Amino acid sequence: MDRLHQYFDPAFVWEYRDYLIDGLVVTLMLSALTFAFAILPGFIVALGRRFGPKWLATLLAGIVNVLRSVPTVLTVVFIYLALPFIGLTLSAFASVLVSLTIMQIVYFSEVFRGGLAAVGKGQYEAAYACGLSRMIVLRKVVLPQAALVAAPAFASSLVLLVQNTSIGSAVALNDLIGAALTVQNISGAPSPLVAAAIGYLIIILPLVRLTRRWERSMAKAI
Amino acid sequence: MDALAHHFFNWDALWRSRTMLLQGAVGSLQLGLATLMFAPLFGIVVLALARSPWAPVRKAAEWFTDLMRAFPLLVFLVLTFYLLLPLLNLRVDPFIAAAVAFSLKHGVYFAEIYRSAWLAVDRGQFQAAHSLGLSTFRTIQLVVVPQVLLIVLPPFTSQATLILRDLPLAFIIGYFEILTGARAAQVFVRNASPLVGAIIAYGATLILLQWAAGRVEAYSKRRLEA
Repeated sequence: MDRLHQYFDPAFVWEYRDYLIDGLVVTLMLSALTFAFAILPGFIVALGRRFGPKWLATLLAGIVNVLRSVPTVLTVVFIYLALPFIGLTLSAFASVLVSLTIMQIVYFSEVFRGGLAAVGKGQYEAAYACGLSRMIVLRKVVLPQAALVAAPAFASSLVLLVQNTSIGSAVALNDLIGAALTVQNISGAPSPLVAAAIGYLIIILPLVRLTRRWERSMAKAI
Repeated sequence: MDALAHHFFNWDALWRSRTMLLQGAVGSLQLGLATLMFAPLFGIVVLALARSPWAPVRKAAEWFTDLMRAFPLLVFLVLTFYLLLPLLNLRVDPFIAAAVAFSLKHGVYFAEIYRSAWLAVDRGQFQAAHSLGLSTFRTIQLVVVPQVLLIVLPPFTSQATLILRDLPLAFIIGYFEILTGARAAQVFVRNASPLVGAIIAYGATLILLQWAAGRVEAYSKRRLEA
């Protein structure tokens, strides 16, 4: 018990709560802003790949594939440490936000694309045969079905989003884990790390459980 | 344009940082190979626990899986290094910590790959094998495993690309891999070319792996349909 106490001391965490709460705020802000900036472009990219002309679909597919291959942490470090050489200086927060947004557009577009692809050709043909316009078909027929199929993948892309914010500590951004590492550096005690880990779990674990439940009910439905 | 070439594509700077970059690449490679060895093995353990006849064990495996999915890899690396290894009285070494963290985190995904492959084998195959008089063990050995291997191959390769993409995160516990090497070199030569070099090397390797994964998938599809 003493041993455990040495690794997690609530009184000690309480003492440094201001650092940790500031870190938590940075993590939450980063997640919310990335979500806000990425969701619409992600949707547009998915629409472009599904309904756009062939050249556009190929181009977007190529870009998505290349971007998927680059680790986010490398782009963060690149924006933060390399762009200043050509006179483009971004703060740590902005560097992380830009890379996370680009990555998340890619993830979201893949999620939406998967949903759209799951709606069969017959659905469009039937809807057009009923005399519905393109917009109405998309809104009333395709998207509701696509949303249902894409829901579990969407939840896991949100998990990835929050997880990826932790990359901020690569450029000395004091997000939740960054702040915990700073406190741990000052004090030499691992307690703040445990507190930060619990913080991440509180945000992410419900999403993971939700994904599991949705995946199960989908498997049953199919 | 000249500034761009000078700062980002400077051969001289790249050449002077070759030892650091090479050392980093070797570090990444070692960690990648260790993970590719242990994560699939650990996946088998997780799957075995998840399919155990005792409900509490199954429940524990499920929660373990969800915990592993929930922790950001970077946070889990830190936890392994500062908490898990000391608590287990193991030698605290960045390489061991990184290998353990990567294997646990990715092992869970391998378990998922095996599970869906097992489910993908048609139940009729079991019945057919039984009616031919094969024992359960023989059925698994001669009928199930060859099919499972073919089904598992494509997701296995794509998981390998994901492992490769995660490797740079090991910098957080001071493991010397390609990103650490590139950053050290950048400070040393005061030029961003090592970083650009590392990114290009990474992108090229990953695109190559993705291409290979596509080929593997096509092969497996062909064989399964034959």
